[in-house]
Amino acid sequence: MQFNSYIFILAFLPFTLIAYYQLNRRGWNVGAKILLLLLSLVFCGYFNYKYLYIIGASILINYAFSRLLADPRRSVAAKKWLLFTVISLNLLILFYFKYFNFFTENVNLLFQTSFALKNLILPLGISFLTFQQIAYAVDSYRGETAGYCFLDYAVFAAFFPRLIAGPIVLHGEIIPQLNESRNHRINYENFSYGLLMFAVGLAKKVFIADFFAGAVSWGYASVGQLTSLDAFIVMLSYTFQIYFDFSSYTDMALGVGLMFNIKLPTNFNSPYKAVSIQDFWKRWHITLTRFLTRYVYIPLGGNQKGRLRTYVNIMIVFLVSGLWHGANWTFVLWGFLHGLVSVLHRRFQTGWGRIPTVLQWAATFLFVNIAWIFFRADSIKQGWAIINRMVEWQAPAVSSGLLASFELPVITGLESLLKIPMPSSLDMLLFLAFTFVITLLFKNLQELEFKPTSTNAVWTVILLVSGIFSMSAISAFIYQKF
Amino acid sequence: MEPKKWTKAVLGAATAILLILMALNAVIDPFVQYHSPLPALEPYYTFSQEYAMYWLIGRARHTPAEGAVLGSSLSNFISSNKLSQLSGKKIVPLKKSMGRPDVYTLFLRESFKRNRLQIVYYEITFPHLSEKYPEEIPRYLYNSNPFDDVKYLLNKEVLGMSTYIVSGWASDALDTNHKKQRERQAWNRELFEVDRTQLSSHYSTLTVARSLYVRHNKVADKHSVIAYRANASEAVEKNIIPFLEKYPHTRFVFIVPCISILNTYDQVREGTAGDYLGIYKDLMLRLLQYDNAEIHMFSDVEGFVDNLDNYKDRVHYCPAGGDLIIDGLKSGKYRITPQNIDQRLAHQKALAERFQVSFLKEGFKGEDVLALNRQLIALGYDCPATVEYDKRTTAAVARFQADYHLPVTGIATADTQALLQELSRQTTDPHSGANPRRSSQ
Repeated sequence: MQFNSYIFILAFLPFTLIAYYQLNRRGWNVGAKILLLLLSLVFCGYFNYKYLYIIGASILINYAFSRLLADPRRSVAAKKWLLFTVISLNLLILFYFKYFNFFTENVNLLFQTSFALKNLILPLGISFLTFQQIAYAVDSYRGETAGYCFLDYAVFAAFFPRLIAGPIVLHGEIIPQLNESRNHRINYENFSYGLLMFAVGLAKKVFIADFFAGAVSWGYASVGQLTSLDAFIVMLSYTFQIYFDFSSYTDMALGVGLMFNIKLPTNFNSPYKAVSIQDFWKRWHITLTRFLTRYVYIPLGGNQKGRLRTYVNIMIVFLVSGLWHGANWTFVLWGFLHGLVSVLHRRFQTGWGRIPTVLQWAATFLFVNIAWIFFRADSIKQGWAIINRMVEWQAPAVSSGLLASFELPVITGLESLLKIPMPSSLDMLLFLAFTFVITLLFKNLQELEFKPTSTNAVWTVILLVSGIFSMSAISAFIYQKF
Repeated sequence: MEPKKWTKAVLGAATAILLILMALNAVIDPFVQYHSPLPALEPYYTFSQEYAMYWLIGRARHTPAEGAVLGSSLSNFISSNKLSQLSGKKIVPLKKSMGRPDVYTLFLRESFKRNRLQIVYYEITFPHLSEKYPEEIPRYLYNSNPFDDVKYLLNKEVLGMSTYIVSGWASDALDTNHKKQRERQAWNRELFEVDRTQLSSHYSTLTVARSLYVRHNKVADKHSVIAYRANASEAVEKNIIPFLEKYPHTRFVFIVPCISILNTYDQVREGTAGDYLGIYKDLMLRLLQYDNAEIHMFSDVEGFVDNLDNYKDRVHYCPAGGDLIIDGLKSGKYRITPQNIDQRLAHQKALAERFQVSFLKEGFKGEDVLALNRQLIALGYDCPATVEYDKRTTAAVARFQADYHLPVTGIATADTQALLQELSRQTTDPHSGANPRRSSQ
């Protein structure tokens, strides 16, 4: 079930909230948690019921292992083996569903073999779930998971607001909140803020991310005919699309979490304001960075084993991050680029500090943009083609196809109403300018302190209603000649 | 503001606004999903082709009728008004550009729910019979799941149309000038059944030439013949036969419209004409097994389908084609029977075999192109002496046309070819040694 679907907003969410608080009100906290677990499974199974087998099995296996790991009577050596086994199992499940075909393809290519590819469905959120459960297993090994019961663990693992795309949470961030009796009653301070975040997230998704999506899919479908300026705009569009898409999801997840009195950790902090690559990774997908730092970088030795090992460790972290995003060499390259620049940044940190901040920002933003090209491209070759287009540096011209994907109904309406012809690039310029301004100059939701006022009430209503009405845009039929 | 009050105000206001707008969409119902247009607002409904998939279902569902005509843009000029006169029954047009049998089934099913249709006119265009409707069909409008209605009622496009209709009505109600109102009514009543622009299109051989990209060559593709047979039979069995069986008292009049001979001509060049016409025959005989089916075929009407001046592309015929079909339905002259089917299809094949495409253009290959290139070279134009009509040939033809004050198209039309022929004969004739390049200056 998508957050931006009618069934979720109009049926699933209201029902779950009401049932959850009604059960809690009657003192059946266990019942409320069972309900939350079952409905989380419904949420997931709504995409494809087959996901449930894998996710269910994964949760059961992980809980069993974590119990074994948490047993203080077990020897350290035995625990190490257990930890190794459970991490391997998790990675194996992930590998099978996510990387089997990628692996087979590359083996076939390398050794001229022809192993058959499998028609696998990638269970939604499995990448997030795997990391979250690995973290839990490690924490159990360290003796930090104080005997949670199965229900607590299962709700923590399957909590639907964060089930399909994070944030990657740690047990300590969810389970205590879930069991806090204060949180079993509706808290309007949380609820109102949650509602506002959900409305903002929905609007970001429907009005900004989906809007850029048109330009991006146009651009990547017609790489051959892009002008230099087209390629540049398509690059920027994807940079904004991915940010608004992902952060809108997170906003909605956090908002829904708050409605249940569960504060999920922040995932974004205006990443495009970053002035260095290190800064960027502290602001972008924060919970992933945290996971990789805690469970990959530091266990590898972090920066404690000399300069060279530090660089190698950074590189490993970013390659893992790249591969985690998807089974394609484009993601590996993306991870490699970020790793390389991170290493360089660490090496020349003092010199970097002397550059004016504006230049720091510009260089960081440009690099992030270029790396996103490979992230989005279907192949490395396609990514190169787009970069080539840009560096050809032709006379500035924008294709009409690209302009068409930026057409704002408001501008078109004004044009026909006032009968004043406006430049065809006006829509695009306005929209890009608007996006730049809100991403760079405005404080983000986390920085602003939320206070319920009548002004933001009106805005919430407007965003909510217009968002809901825009979810099923009738995809206009392009009238084709027979 | 207090958080509790804030939350209640926001949720209350959002719910109220959503309900009001949903009610507006349900009452105005711009795509006639639930009811026919309200009488006072009727003139303000616009049914554009862009949203046809949305309102056609409503038209099928809510128009009282005794008969229907189903078709694609190839039925644009088969007017439902004329069919109503012809049959003496009220015929509702259910036509969709890019229409295919799978969509006709949706329309027909809806229409039969309400009406006891006595006659159904059904377009069968053989080259398209094997295809499915290529665009997305909004299935939620075609099912009976009430929860899916939310997608219609909470839709900004629908809301936009509702607002448009209401504001049109309101501005006319405030305006005392009723003339404008009546004009608008008249404009809306005028029936354009699929594509208004086809009325003002230009129909000529040159337009057809511009719309064509390739000419088939002599390579038989037996695989596509097999695939065609399978898909076309499936379309007939799944989308047509069930209706013939379920409604034995409804007369089904199948119309094979007068598309140009080019399609059969290509098949002749490929060497597959016999195969395809054989399949058409089997399909038609299958339909004729039912007493309530009759077929009228116009794809072999000599003097019309072999004259490309009647077309704007391979298949779209001029308004006169519509009259030809209506007259043919009236007289029964082009009706297919098991007795005449072989002779009619043989006639179509013979027409195609005799047919000559009068022009050559980019993308064409063949000995005739080679001859053209040689003539151009002989006259001093720069182009390759190959069997392929490529960019350079196009440029050479365009220059030739400019030099001799012909319309510059880059397409070797009949006029261009005739002049070229004549001039190159003169240059090979030693007695008239005029240099054509100089003569044009």
